[in-house]
Amino acid sequence: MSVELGHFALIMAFATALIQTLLPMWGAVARDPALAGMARYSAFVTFGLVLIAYLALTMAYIGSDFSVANVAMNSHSTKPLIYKISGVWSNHEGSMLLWVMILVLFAALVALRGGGMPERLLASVLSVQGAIACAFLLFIILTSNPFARLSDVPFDGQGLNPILEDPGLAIHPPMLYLGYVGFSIAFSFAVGALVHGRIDAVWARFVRPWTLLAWIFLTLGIAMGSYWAYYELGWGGWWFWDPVENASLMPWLMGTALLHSTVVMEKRDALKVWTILLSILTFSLSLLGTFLVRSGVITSVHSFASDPARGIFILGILTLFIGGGLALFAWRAPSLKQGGLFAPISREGALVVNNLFLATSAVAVLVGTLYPLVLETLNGSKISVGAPYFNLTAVPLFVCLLILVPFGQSLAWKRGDLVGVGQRLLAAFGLAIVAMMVTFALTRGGPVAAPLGLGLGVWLIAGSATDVITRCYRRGLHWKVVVERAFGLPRSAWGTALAHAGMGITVIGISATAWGVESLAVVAKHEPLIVGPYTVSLEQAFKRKGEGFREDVAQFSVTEGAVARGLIESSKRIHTGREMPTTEAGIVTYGFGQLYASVNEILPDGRVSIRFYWKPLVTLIWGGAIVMALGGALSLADRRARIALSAKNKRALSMKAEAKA
Amino acid sequence: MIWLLIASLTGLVVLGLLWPLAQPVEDSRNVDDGDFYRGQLQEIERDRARGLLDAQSAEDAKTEAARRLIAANKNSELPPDRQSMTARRKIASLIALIGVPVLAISIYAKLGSPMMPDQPFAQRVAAPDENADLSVMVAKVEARLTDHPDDGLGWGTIAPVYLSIGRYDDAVKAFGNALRLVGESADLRSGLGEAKMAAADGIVTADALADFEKAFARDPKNERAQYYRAMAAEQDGDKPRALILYRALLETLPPDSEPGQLVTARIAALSGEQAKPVFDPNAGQSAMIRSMVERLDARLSSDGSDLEGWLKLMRAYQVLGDGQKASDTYSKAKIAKAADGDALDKLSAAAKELGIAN
Repeated sequence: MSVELGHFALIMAFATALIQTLLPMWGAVARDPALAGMARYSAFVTFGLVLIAYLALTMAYIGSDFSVANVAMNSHSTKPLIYKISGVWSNHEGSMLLWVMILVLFAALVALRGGGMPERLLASVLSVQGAIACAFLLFIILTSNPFARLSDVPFDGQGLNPILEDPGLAIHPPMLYLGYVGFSIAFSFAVGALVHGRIDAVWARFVRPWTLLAWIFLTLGIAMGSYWAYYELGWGGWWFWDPVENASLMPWLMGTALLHSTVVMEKRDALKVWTILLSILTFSLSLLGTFLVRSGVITSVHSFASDPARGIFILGILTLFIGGGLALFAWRAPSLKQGGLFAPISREGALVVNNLFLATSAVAVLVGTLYPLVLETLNGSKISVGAPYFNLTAVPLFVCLLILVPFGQSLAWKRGDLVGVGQRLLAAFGLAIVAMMVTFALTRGGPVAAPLGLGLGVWLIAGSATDVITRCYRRGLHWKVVVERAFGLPRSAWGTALAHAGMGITVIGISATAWGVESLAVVAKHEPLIVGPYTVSLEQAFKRKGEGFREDVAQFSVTEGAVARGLIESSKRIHTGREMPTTEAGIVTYGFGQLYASVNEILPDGRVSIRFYWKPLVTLIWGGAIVMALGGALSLADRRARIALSAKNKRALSMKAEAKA
Repeated sequence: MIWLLIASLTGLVVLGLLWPLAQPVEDSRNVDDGDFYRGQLQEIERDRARGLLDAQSAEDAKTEAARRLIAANKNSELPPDRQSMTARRKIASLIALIGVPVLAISIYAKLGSPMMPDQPFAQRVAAPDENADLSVMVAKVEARLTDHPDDGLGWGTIAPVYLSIGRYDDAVKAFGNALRLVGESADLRSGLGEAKMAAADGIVTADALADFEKAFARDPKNERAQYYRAMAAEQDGDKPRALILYRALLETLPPDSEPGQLVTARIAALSGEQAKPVFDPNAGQSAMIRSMVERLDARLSSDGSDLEGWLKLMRAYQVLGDGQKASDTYSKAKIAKAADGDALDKLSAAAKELGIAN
């Protein structure tokens, strides 16, 4: 029963999302509180229905119900439970359902927490959110129905692509989707504001937590995807400028810009029109990402759904929302009340510079991603735009921006004092220079860019520290007072510092890849191979059977000088389900660096063809991303952002009541 | 059942949608932007009290917030128009009450399969129902054989099933494959003969007879070979030889068993001069298969050394839809082969593949 009930719930959700789109918008336009009030309840109902559908599909996966075509094609009765559950979103249909579930979850959360929002704004936001849900629900129901049944039930399912059978897969897509879809809230708020015709600090206050939340998840999702590619694909690289990676990077860049511009809007009531545009563009890039991944227009490891009908449908959704959003913007934006002007040397001025850099780099990435596609449609020639392009366009922009970050962070609102800021940052700058010199000295003859990058990272971290220190320390203050002031700092200030420092950590990790060492060799037993500071030697090569696969394992011992540092093993796996070979990289972490082994082949004579990498400080790349996300979380936890209106609102209402009495 | 669930869900959904319309207007929240700025003023005051803002910047911030508050008050919205509200509520209620169920149910009726129950793996494999859709089981084994065409035991399992559901040509192929892959055996050989005979509308052709003779030569006690050799004689008109062969078979069969009765009936028919060489797959065949399975079971219970026998028996019970017996067989086999690690591996692999519960 549950499968069919899930199918029905999914279809019903489409109907209720339609209600959520039409009636509250009517209510908002006609200023009818009863109709506008339907927004919240229909958002709850739609979420409940999609949840039922999602749970029904999950149950079908857990129970291996192969009468459901989706389960038969993507699962297997002998799969471990965790991969049965994560298998739900390992395929096109299921992952679209997850996408929509997160979408309606966000809408329900907005409805839940929207108690303090102006009724009409809430109604229009939820209405736009409902429209997006409608479009994607229809897409799922018509082109990618996960509840299609098979009349000839196969004995067993076809299993999961073994490359996807991994804990990384279990977490990476939901994270990424929480990010992508989270930006839909900003979009809905923007369209709501355009329909409403009013936009002010209130708007910014409500939209900021959602943008922040989406940004945190997107940051983690991208980091997770990067780490997954690093250890699972066996190439030892962590970023490939693959179109699908770019598809997640673009909304991140634009979303980061949005995050900063909403701050300006909230604090200074300025940059209004620009913020609205950024909201629309950020979600547009998220939709574009969904389109690129889901339509199969690009060939990459991610494009497992290659179906033109689906591509055209998503393209239609894309055109509707991006085109509709931008058209509405073009029509209504001139009538919006512009915010005040401000001095160029000020925090808000710095944030404008930040926005320009981020938006430009997003455009650079966009061009590099779409250019090959456009070219192929025009004259059929296949070219690939690779790392060199991005290294020449996006990367210099990032570097310029990062050099400026500590300045912006230290500038005061309204009217900043650039000289004063320069003086305060002198120590940080000195620290960065020293770090650069020391690394130059220590790694003489090495790549030039690496110490520079390291210096940049130190500059970011020290700059963030300077910001926090100057805010709570002043000469002559008792240390207790300093600690008190540090605790008294708004959490968003700590969050900013932490996020920028996290960026610095990532930059250090990225720069350090230049010192990486690669050794490719065919080795016999006990033949030593030198990889950076370590010496590895083949201990044994053997065959092993695991659950659902058999593998040829090569095991090496690692020594540093004369000290044994344990074992590392890498294997070639054949998955019995699909007879598909994969390479399992062996990774051992020493300090912040990693030793990475990837076996090519185990030769019949017992020798092993193997590739070793020593990657110093490589874990900092992802560690930095986690620190960034923590910074975001801290900022999100800022009391002032979190309580929004709800608590104060009650007080205000009770004050009103007293006044009446 | 499913329609009941769908109806309840629809009811709940409509109720949820109509709920806000049923609330009196006075109760609906009345928040204006002013609250936000009043909150902001309080916040500035708090920050100043904690020493995060000095008096001057607090004063500046308050001035700006106050200016925005005044602007917000100027903009505050007009009260809603009560009269048209009632009309709008009616329209909205109608849409929620009728539009949503009609839209959802009509799409579902087009796309859904309301009559199709859930078929979780465990339940499907273990279902002990003999009248369950045999074709489902056949499909299961077929899917396996597509992936593993070298699974001789699989062919041997599905062949008698083909025979019993009337897919005689497939049965001939399946028996042929099983013989090729597993090797010569009286059971498979006589099965092949039976399939050929069935494909020839119940005539024991020379080709089929050759198979029965081979099976008989290999195992003179093979009932099917004995039975059809007798039937061949009967169809050739060689009544005395047919009677001799039937009687010889009857001696080894318990007379009140199904096959026993079948043979008795043939003897009676021949003795009564009523030659009726009719092949009736539904009466004889499945009983024949069952009795064979039961005898294999009995043999293995007394002598459990035959691994292939155990595997075959597990398969047979599973295909016959008797999950409980299959599972019992698995347990018994594990006890019988407890000392043999290799055999245990094979057994557990087979059990896993067949979905036999432990």
